[in-house]
Amino acid sequence: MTGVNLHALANPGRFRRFAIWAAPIFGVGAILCAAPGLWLGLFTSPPDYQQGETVRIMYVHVPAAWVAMFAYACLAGAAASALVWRHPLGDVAARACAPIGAAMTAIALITGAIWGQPTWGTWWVWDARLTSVLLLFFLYLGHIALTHAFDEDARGERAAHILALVGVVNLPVIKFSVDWWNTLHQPASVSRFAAPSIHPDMLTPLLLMAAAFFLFFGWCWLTRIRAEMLSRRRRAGQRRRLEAQ
Amino acid sequence: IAATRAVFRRELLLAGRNLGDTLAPAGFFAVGATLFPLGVGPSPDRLAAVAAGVAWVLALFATLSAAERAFQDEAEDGGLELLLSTAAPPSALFLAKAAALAVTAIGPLIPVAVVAALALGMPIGAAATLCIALALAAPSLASFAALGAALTIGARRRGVLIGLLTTPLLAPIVIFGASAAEAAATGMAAQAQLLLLGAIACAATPLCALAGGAAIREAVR
Repeated sequence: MTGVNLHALANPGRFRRFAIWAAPIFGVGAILCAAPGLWLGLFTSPPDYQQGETVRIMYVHVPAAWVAMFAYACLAGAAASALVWRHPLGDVAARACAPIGAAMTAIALITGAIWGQPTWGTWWVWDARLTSVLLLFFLYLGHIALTHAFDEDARGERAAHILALVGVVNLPVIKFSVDWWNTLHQPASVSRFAAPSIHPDMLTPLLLMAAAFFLFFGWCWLTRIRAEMLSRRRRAGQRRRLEAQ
Repeated sequence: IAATRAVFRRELLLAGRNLGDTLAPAGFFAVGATLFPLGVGPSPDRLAAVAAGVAWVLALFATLSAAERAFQDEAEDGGLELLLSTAAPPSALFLAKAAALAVTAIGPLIPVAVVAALALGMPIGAAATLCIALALAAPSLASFAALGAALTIGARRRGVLIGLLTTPLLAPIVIFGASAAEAAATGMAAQAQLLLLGAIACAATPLCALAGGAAIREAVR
């Protein structure tokens, strides 16, 4: 986001104008990354020497998991901006972000289960990483439920912000769960300070798909924020018309 | 400080007057612990294998059912605004309520849990470890449960919502607590798990106090 002053985006009108041109760029970028990523990942990259062709689920499972955690960090950031700095768009951003993150977590869990069945012999195992990602999914669901649990929208959003911030402790647990416990899940092979221990032929499609997923998340989020802002304006307009009668 | 102590004493007094309500979670624990052998079958090996986990899950449910009552009457009759108008910081008030929850809800649970664990076939040493683990985890269990209650003041379907919100946060406590009792049952040292439970209690209580104070302030806005 070089050259874009985030404080300038705090103005809802300016953000709306930014989102109108920025969101399609994210969307097109996602498609531009996904097309070669899928081609390389599904067709031309080599099969794993142990797992064979099933390793190709990795090109969907790993980026979905990364975006799931990133989306929660964004949710916590939006919650912090709304609670601490009273950012005018914090409420809207958090409300828009939670369902996307929940869906990404669900995709990661489901693709992980599909991958686990042929390779580990089981759909699910209660090890540290799977359990903590499942807890992340429940945190998302709890956030969505809390947002909608009150008759007054603003009260629900504020309570949900607090919940989002408290749940941030889960993110380091997920990240380091494969280091802290003996788990069945693969240890970290990409995000290490030394060179990644994964072959470039597999790393390239993985990074392309990761870029695609992150850009897709950006597109989804910006579009949902715009939609939420429009819906609020419509409801405010309806209220004004009712009061004017 | 005086306000915080007053809130804590008032909670204990109210709990003492409504003993039926206060001991209901312990009763729920006992009923649940009776249902498990009926469902799982009376085979002693199987029951002993699950005794630690059953005790901890039921303790979680019992705490959550007690938490639903935590901020109920204040929210209904406007006592929350009165409390917040005192000089005490909201996090201190929240801590007073959480401490009262720990004493009134988890306190009666501990003897019931030990008896239930023995009835499910846990050896006595492991039951003692279970007692210690519950006592160590009581601050964090109560803090998270009270935080769930504070966040949902005035919400619809409050009971279910508290369960949904606090389960991800309480899951590590249940994991380590059950692991402590399990380790003691198989003769290994449970020191690591107990230390971790204590650490979680030390870390969770201030965090929940901060969040709970904010939640109470949001509830009266």
